[in-house]
Amino acid sequence: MKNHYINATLSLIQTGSDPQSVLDGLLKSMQSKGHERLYASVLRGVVRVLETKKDSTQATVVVAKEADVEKYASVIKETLTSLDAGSDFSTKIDETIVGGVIVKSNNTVVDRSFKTALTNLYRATLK
Amino acid sequence: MSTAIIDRIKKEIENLDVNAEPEEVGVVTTVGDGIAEIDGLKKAQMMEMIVFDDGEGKSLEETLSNEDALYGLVLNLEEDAVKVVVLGEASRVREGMQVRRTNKLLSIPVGEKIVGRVISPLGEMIDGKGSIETDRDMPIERVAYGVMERSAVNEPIHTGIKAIDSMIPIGRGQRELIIGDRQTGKTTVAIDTIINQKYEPADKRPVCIYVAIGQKRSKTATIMAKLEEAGAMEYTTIIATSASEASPLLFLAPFAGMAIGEYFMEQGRDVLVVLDDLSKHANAYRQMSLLLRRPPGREAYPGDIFYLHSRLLERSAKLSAELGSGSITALPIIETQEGDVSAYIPTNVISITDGQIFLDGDLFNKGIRPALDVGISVSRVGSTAQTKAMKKVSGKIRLELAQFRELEAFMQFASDLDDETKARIDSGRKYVELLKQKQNEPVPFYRQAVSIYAANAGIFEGAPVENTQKIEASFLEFVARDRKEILDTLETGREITDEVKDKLDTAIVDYKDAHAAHYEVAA
Repeated sequence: MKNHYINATLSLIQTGSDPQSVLDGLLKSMQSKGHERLYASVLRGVVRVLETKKDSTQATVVVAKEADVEKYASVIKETLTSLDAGSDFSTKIDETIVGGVIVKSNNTVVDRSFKTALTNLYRATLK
Repeated sequence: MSTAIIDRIKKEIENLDVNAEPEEVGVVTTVGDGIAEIDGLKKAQMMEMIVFDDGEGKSLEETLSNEDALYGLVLNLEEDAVKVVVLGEASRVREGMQVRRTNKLLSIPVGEKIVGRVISPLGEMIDGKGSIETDRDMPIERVAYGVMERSAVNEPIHTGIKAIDSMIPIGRGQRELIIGDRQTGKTTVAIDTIINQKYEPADKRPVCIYVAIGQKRSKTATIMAKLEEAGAMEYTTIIATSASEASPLLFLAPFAGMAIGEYFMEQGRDVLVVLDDLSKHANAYRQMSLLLRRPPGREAYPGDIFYLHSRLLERSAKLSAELGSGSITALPIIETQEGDVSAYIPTNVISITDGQIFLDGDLFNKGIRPALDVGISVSRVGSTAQTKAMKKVSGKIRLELAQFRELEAFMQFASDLDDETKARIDSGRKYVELLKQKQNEPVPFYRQAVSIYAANAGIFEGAPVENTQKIEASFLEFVARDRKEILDTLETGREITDEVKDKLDTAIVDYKDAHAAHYEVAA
């Protein structure tokens, strides 16, 4: 039920309808059917899908510090090519990855971060 | 730090690979009751393991504080999401968490050294004796062997319980259900069967796997202690899941047992798998299915509950000679309510298995233990696998007990009965006494054959009913001491030849002469 509402809302927004009037209409329609309790979670679902689509249009590169983008430039380029993700990317700084680089495009990730490598090593050693 | 650990770390560093491959990832959208809904894993497969990335945004130190990775199992592939059961602490999963595919179907690491250990359904050693080296990963779910890859059941697996080995024999590769109310001795029958395997020659001794599904931890600990005391842990693996564990682990436990069994079966070895019990397994599957929002059917069980148990038990097999002649014998256990064998899950499993051992609460309370109801217990394929010795002696006991059951109703009018009827009732009572056995004291088949042969030959004639067990024990002692060659010949030959028969007849006469006191009625 929830997914049907999400899909209907998204298709209306994508056809160019005014988002505010779509949401008003959605609320009215849900109230008439007694489904208004689902409204908040439908909105969350719509936002989630839109965010995923926004993310999927451009690759994201996660590094531990700004300078690492230059340091790993060739690795990033090679990875973006292998993922067929073009050459544009947005950069995200995440100190917790310690070092290395993570490249995300659509639903695919290439994780070359030190944190993941060290975590895997630690868990393999404990076994 | 020991050098072994340092060496291990060095070895791991040498193999450290930061040239990671692309991985498909998704995001947890909802989580609750151990079930997570994940968006984005478009290529996920049924029964695939996925790993929750609970280290995202956390420092390295925080990530390492969780020693184990958190896995999930894909069980529902839906139009726009996948539903996953969390195999571990569900409280570690949160909305928005990243999830990675592993591209591996759920499997359990197995090896020769798994024997003698207590493990979880995911293959983790939980007995505190450290990890083991494993040979390979066996898939938890797998299609059972086909018709052409199997051969007929033709070798017995002895339970050490006289009533079962004589009247309801079980063959290697058979599926024999143990069914009965609570506290009727179902687990005891299974555990006695495991203990009895120590009397088998080492090359014929099956590897035993005891699967505790949602049992109390204290019960599993008691069983382990009993097996250790009897020296049976040497050839037994216990897969333990307790009632407090998440339902997915209970659901996986019997499949893990079968996967380990298949590892040994494929090496040409015999395996005995005890599934204790499938009623709790059905409940766990029901719980999981309802949480996965699968449509409920009869008694709220999902529609595929029959398929679940049939595909599990169908993995029990006797392989053909070309495939090494290995076998998996399954002893599933079902708990009934108020003796109702016509309930949903009992009828399902009765129809899947090759026979059932029914344990009756009334018989148990009367002191007849094992409380086997011979009338409705049956073995559909085991008689072809029975040893010649047992086959020869068991015919009469079956007939005698059937006649006794018919006459049982008249027993209260004993004074009005004719001599022949009285004699039949007396003989029936002695057979019932003969079949009584203490728990955890299984009897090797050759001793059982001697006992039952002696009963058929009239060793108890003239003795009071209450002396039956005393006479049986002292006769076996007499044979073991003075006529040991009889037991040796039976153990190796597995047949009552004319020579053995003559020796047994002579032994019975000699015993009766020497033990007249046992035949005197107490004043």
